[in-house]
Amino acid sequence: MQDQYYAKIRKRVVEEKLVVVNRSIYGKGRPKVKKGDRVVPETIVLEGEMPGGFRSIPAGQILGVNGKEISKYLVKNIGDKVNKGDRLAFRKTFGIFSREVVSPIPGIVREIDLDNGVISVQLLPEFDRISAACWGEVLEVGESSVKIKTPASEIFGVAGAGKSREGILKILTPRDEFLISENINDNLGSKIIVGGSLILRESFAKALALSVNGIIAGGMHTLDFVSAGGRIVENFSSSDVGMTVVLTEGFGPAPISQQIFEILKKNEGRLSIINGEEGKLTIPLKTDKKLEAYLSDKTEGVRVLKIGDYVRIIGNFELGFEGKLTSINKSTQRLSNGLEVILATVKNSVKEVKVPVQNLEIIV
Amino acid sequence: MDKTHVPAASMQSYNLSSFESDANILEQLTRWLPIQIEKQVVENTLGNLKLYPQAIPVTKEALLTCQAYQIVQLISQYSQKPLVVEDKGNAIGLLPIPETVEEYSKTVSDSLFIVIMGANPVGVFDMWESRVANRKVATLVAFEGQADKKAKSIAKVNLDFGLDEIQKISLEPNKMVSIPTKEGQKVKLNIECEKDFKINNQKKLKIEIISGSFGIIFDCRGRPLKLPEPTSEGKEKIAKWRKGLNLE
Repeated sequence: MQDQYYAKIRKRVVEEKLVVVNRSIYGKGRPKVKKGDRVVPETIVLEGEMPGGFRSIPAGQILGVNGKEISKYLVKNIGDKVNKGDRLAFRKTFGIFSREVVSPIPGIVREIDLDNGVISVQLLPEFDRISAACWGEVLEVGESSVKIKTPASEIFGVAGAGKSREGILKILTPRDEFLISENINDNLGSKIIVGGSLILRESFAKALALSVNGIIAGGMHTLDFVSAGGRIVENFSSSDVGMTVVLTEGFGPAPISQQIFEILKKNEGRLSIINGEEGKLTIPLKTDKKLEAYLSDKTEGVRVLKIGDYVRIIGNFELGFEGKLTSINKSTQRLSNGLEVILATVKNSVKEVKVPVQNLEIIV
Repeated sequence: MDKTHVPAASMQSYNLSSFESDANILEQLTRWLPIQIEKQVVENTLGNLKLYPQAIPVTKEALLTCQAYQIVQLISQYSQKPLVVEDKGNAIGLLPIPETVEEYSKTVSDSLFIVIMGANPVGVFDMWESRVANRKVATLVAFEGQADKKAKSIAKVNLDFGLDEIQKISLEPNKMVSIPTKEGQKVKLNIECEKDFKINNQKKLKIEIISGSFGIIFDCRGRPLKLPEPTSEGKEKIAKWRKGLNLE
């Protein structure tokens, strides 16, 4: 039997260090600062036109005709500018009856696919301005991104979705309670809210409707996460639905780590930057203190597990439970599902949990 | 005995639609669960499996979900390059059990079930363990053809273990049948397929195999295989196939 077991090292928080914040814009931007400039949160660092997405409308299906036939009923052509609700195609049927296709968005008719009877409307580009959202010094300026060195605390989640957004941090529930829609009220627009162990689908929808900028919670149901722009395949790359989400533990209900929650509580009311692509929350600090630089990644490789290590349980059983590793069995034991495993015991002030030794990460 | 190992050749056996979306993966996975598990539990298990691939499933539901995901991954892999013994004669194909499959298996039966369902091979195959080098586990005999509703048998097989008596079996359609053997035992198989069925692209096959630790598996589900639906009927079908490999 193996006498040493390796586990992934996970860094969950960085407190009061000099970190690098990346402020970026979708598409081609125009930098408004240069290397070495001092910035404050309101300083505009980038501006540009955010390319709009497009919507495909199944015109043939709506009109009740084959793809090619839609050309007879078109009211707009490729390149035409349309407002939301403008008629794209119209068909009169049996005298008094008619069917019409309207644009669901303002934009430009981009494509008319006669094979499939689909009209695509491109959203008009939106003017966007990106502020520094922190106190610091510009390190690097690119066409669509600006790197700023700033004193900050950082929290690393395990999954996220959505672009980088800033907002005032607001805690809505204890770390182990579900974020229900009743927790979300009208004055949370443009804030970054902290839920508890689970973001429910309706809470996410309500927050999005109220223009909340970001949500942090322990977990979210997998398909809700996918609906929120997240992916569970292809390296968790995400798209943006208009609000950013960061999960600190994983999928399904899981209380936010105590260590993370303490930092969130300590910084409630501060301006923060949430980044779904990086699964990270940055809380910039206004300080003249000389701080140590933190440039490392959130994961720090693997090392041998040692009794006394502060560990975290991963996987689908007791996800996110943290405590001290008190023992590792010498021989295998059969789980209720029949798998033979080496069990490790993790203990904190509340309870003791036994899990396969592979289901542990070392928290640093 | 003229026996050769042949590589996989092409055959359109599985015709799965694309795997481009997460929801699609979840739907495919649900087909391969032998019991009803709450949808959200399956989804979250899969999400956490992708997030923490090293973690061991602790509950029965999590284990079955992980195994179903292994099947879906193998289906995706083998749909690009299906596994079929096309040579006429007594050729034997190679079907390895990936190490990742073994990690999610409590017994060798689990591994065999995952690989057979995922790879969907056609012909006679030797199945090998990856973790223990050069260890044969089983011989698989997977028939091609489709049974009509009235068919009671797809093939008759004589198994000669070198003893006084020859064991005779008639294989029923849509079943998985396993015959235990001693590891390393030579067994002569004399297979006669019924109407509409073939093995190694022929109606009759005489072949000698050297047994693995598990034995001989007859896959009588026919090919092309209709995937089980994610309904209670589909679950019954999977439970029946699992039972054929001595799984609960």
